[in-house]
Amino acid sequence: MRHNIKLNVNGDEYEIEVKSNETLLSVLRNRLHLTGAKEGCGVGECGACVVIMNGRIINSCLTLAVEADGSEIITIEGLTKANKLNEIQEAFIEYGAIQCGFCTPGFILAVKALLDRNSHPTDKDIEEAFRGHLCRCTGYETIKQATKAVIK
Amino acid sequence: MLYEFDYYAPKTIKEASELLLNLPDARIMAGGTDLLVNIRAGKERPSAVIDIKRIEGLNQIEWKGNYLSIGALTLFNQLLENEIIRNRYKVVYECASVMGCYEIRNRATIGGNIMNASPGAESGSPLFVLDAEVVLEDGENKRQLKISEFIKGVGKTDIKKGEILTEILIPRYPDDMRSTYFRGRRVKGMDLASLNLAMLILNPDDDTDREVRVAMGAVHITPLRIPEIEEMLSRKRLTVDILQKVKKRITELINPRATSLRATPEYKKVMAGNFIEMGLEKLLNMKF
Repeated sequence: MRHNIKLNVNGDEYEIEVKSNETLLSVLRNRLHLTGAKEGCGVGECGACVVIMNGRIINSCLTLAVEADGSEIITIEGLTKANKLNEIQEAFIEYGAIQCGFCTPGFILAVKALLDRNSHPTDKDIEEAFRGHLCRCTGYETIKQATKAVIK
Repeated sequence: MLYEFDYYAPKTIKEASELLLNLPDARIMAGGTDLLVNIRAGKERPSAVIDIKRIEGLNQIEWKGNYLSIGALTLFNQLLENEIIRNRYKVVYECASVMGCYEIRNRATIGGNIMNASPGAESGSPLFVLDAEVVLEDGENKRQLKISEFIKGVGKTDIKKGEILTEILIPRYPDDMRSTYFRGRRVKGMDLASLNLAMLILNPDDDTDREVRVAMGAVHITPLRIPEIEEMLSRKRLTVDILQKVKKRITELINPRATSLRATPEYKKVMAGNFIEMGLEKLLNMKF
């Protein structure tokens, strides 16, 4: 079954036709060529696919594109304005919180979503925000340090 | 890629009900965090998914007479964000705070958690210990029954064809009611519960009137209230001796299957007693 949907992604309007079974992740990557969101597990356990939809951070691999019809979506690409890196991205670079980079878009969006709802998270709050994110490279410490560095 | 299925987004309960009755093998989709995972794994192959998120009015939390009404489409994060849940229904707050992860909680709904009917469902033992009721509608008829009568087995509920779960009703309790939730987990990261226990205490400060309720998940085919344990702990001064008897008796009363996925039956029997001890210590400010 096909559906005509409207998506606002990072401020840009898109009108596309999707099939019922296309995930939002698949549409972002393959149709809109926004490849920042990754498919790490496809079942909502690794966090590499997260986007912010209507203000809530979600796993795009577990969301059908058609469910997102009419939504406002922010992907990692939306954090970089005029080719200038966001402060979270800068902190990740400074603290060595990126190795292969596969988990990085997910973690950065998770930090953004965390700070948007809690400007002074405790260590426990940070851990909780990262519970749905897996990193196979860094051991998480540098990611936590980078996150704490961004808290004002 | 997911195999091909059709998608519908009804705007009313009646529309959803008609779709359910007319489409063979259609499944209701709320948050999709169980359904899409199951479809991907080949465990479910619906011909169509019926997305009920466009139906209005199914995600409010509000008092309705002697009940707190929670819409079936209430997100787990919305439970955490709600002041009544946070202050007056700590067992629900605590189970929601360990469910999945933050991103999953932004999609997963309490109705979906109930309908998935996993024996270890995060909301299972809390709703059982609260004597919650569920409301089922098909656009014309409405029925209400105790959740303990609604959940029938692993993945099985009493839902009839054409019905959707719309509302969860939790009785209003006195201000001094105390409740809490424990769960066993294998890792500090995201994990399903190996087992869980919900405890609720009425009249906590009165030895002769105190009522202690206990419900457990992932020790039976459904969440389970344990009346004999509740009787042993209620309406009396609690001593180390009574606790030891309770911890022994619970190993005889629960019979988790040998093929338990996340913990052995032996572990569950011992942890059940430990969670009871932890619950009493926490809710009654005691030290055994």
